Amino acid sequence: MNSIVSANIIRFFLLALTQVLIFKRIAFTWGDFAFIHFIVYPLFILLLPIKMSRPLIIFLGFLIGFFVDIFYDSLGVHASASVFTAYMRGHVLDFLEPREGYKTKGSPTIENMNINWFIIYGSILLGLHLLFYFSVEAFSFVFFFEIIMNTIFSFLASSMIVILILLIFRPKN
Amino acid sequence: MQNVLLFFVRFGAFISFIFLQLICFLLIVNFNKGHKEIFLHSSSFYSNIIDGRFNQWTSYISLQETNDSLSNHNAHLMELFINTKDVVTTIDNDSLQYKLISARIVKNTFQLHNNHISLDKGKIDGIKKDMGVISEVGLLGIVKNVSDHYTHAVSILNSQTKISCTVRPFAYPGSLSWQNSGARHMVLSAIPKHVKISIGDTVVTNGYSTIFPKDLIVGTIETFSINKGSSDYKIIVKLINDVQNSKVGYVINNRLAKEQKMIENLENE
Repeated sequence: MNSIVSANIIRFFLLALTQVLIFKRIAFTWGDFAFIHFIVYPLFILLLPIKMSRPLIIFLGFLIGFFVDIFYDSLGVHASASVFTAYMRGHVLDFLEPREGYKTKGSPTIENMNINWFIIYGSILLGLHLLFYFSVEAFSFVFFFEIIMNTIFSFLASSMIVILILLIFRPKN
Repeated sequence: MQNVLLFFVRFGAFISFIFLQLICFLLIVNFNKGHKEIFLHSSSFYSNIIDGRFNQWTSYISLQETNDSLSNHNAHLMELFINTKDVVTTIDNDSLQYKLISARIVKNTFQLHNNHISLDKGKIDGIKKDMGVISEVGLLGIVKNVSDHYTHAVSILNSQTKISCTVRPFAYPGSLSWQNSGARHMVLSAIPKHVKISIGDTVVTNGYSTIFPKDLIVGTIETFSINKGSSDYKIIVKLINDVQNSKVGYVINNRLAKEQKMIENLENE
């Protein structure tokens, strides 16, 4: 039980810090094309234990979003997206629940579930997170085109990084 | 009591979701400038529909009108100021060489290599290509494209910017450019090294072009150095204004620009 808690605390800081110290600074631009942003910290929310109480998950989502916001100088924007993702996580988990229920007590990692399941689960939540984030960032649907382009390209870039992280570190709980 | 607890167990996630989203919304609107403007704008838009019942929001609308009239007034005052610098006579409003058109800045980038500013006035208000844009103090940019209602200007924070400037007591023309040196600093080059300048001297425009009038303060000298083998200073200028934080721009309409350009082109032929 303790190892689950400490693993998640470490994950919180590692993901938040790599996000604000490394991924924030990476910017691909070709002239007007500036739609690629790497956003990987939602992985923390994805990997919280399955049986964890949902209000707590939402609160932790708020915390990591707030932490990232402090460095992005956009107080509330990431927090709002993270809270949304954390809330949706519960519904996505219900939706994707296997017929015999979740067997593991730990986190929905690739090891505990399987890779196909995780790709569906991760893509839905990461996509929702990015869509919500860019919508809140623009704060007006006047920028519909930018929001969609940002979401699509950032989704491709971020999910690649997320899968790389999972394959390299192979988190177990 | 039991019912309350059951209710929370059942809807706890949803309640905390709504609660934290509200907090986020307050944070976003209070701490982010762009978001705040959009929020005020759309909220004032909706309040108009609901017949101006909410006094607080409608006061924001009048605030903007007051703001507009104030900036127009300000433009007029700056007009007088610029034009009376050299000649102290009674001024006939129509004979002024420089006219200022105030416009709100609607877009302003400053993190890129080539930054731009958009203003909410255009051809209809008399803005043309190659006019200068200034703020209350300091420069902002040069008009590049004009549509009927909008103006697109090259910010001074642009790698293509070249503005003719000098250090105050002297008349040696130097070239002010931006080399990705942050939003508060620009580089003045081509001032010959025998000129005695010192840190803190004022850098002003010298009025050699038709874009900016003479003696507009640009900033002060922060540091200067001489590159080996060069005969010129490399001067780092600290800008007097903060381009990032400008809300209103004044477009300078030089009524004699056409004439000056025409006569200069005659010379070339």
